[in-house]
Amino acid sequence: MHQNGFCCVIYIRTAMSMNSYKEILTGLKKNDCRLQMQFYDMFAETTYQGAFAVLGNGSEAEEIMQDTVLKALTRTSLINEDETQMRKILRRIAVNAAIDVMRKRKSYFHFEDIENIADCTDEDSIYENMPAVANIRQAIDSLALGYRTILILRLFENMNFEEIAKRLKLSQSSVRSQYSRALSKLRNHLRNNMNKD
Amino acid sequence: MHTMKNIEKKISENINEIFDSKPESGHRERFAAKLSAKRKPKYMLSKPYLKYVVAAAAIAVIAFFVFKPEKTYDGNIASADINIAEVKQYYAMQLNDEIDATKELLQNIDEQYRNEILGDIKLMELDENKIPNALDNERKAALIVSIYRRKIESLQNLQSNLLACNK
Repeated sequence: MHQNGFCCVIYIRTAMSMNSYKEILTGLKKNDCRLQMQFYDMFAETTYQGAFAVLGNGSEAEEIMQDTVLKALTRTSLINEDETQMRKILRRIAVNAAIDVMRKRKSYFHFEDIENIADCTDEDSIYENMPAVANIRQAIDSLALGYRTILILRLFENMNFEEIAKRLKLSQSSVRSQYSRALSKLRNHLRNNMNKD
Repeated sequence: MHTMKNIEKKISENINEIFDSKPESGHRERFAAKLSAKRKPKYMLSKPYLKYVVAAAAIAVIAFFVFKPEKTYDGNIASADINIAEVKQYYAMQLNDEIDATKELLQNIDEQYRNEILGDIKLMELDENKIPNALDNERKAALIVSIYRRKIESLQNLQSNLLACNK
């Protein structure tokens, strides 16, 4: 009995993995629920990561991710035949939706004055050991939302300054300087933490 | 500046690890529920037929207002000391039951048509028919019964049409 159940799981998993992206797309046209779920499984995580990176909030990111996938499933015009492109499209939609959520927050672009941040150019000490990934993540989380968003769009979403400026409705020079300050704050945070250790 | 570049490089190299996050457990089930809600077939009546239903409802309401009953009561209220309020209350309750039944049938039809019919029902709910004070109680009661019966019959006709559509 137990073994049969195990076989059944194996069968389902095998059956699921058998469907190629092309097959999934064909299934979507027929409104096949099983393949719609496979489509979700295929893109849920990366779409979620895009929204989560901007928002830093799991439940909000999940909401955005699911709405994004649902939108793609109901609007065939959003479907791309290329899996990598589809991943990028969904992720970009989720990131944009997350930015919209962010923009609704009052404190969104409250940047600190540049005077409050140590000038990065006079920093002459080079890390002997680069900080651990977990520390970098923690430092990014500690940034103000505006800095965090610009940093993420630049490094995580690979957007250039022009794209970021357009998306955030800021001037390009402002985005450049905010990005530089974000990095500087990040570095200070990491340095302080390292000194504590 | 060198340090900045180092940090930038370090982040870029480990970007997936840094932003590695997964949705909370149960997300698949939550999505399946959303998907299922979206897929739930909403019964849509064909537009030509709906127009007929809406027209029938509108005609019933218009007919009610145009052909206001006068002495059409043929019931058994004979006594002069009829309680008008009670008569009204009794038929108002029956009318409400029919309205509820109709609204239930309207749930499966296209929003635009549903709203049109609901607008007509709203008109029916209005108690705009003033009963002349000069009439004696028997005539008043007869008039009230007649008004409510017409409303109720209109709704029942509408329900038959909606039921036929749902088959």
